Amino acid sequence: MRWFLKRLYRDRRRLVVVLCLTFLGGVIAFPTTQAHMFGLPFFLVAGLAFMFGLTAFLALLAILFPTIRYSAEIAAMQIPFLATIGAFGMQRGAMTVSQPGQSSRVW
Amino acid sequence: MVAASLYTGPLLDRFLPLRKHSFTSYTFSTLAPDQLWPFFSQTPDTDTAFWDEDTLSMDWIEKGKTFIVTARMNDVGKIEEHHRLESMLPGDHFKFDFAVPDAKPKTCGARGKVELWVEPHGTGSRVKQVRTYDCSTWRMMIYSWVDDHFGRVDDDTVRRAETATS
Repeated sequence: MRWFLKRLYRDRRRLVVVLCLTFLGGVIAFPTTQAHMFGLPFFLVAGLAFMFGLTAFLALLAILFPTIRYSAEIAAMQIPFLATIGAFGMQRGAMTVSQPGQSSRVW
Repeated sequence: MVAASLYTGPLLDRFLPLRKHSFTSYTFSTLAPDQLWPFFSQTPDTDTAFWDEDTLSMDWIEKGKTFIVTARMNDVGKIEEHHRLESMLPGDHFKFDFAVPDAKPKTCGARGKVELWVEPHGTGSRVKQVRTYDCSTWRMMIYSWVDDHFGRVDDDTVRRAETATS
């Protein structure tokens, strides 16, 4: 237990960085969705879901496999980039669906 | 991939300015300050039993003031560092300058200062260490902060001390 707490303590800043980046990724992924969930805008719910889900996984990766611990923040850095690409793709897809006859012009 | 290569590769070091930077680290131990002291504050007078496995030799240049440390580097190489003692209060405070005389000019990490304090903390002790490098890259600063790199280095020394005294 002591080694786990010690590693968690040494990785505290890494976890803060990962928390921020994964939350940002979740928010960016659904920027225009109008839906609400639990009384919160969907992009915030998505941000929190990304944050808790991915941070738990990346924290375990950093703590259990210390030789590759730096890959946790590298993976977290990719998430906002991938979310941006995903959000852009979804917007383009929505435009294509709403204007099916003009899909060639949209793309 | 771009973010990863910027974070882990030397690309940014070419474009961002190098600067002097201090890295502060803390570590804790169940040992008393007197027991930890010889593992953290080493001079040629320290018993070789307290040296870490990479220290090959320590010799005074000027007794009580400056000494040379020869250490193994990257498993196969050797590095020589000159240390100049500035202050030494056994069991409490230790401060020295270091320089690698064979390093190229402007080599990062080749010159600086180390200052450490060992103080009682609960039933054990706390070690605070400030390492100041005259030249440090932004990548090194960011990575060391995120990883708490020097805290981990100090943890290794504490682990060695606790194993040796148990």
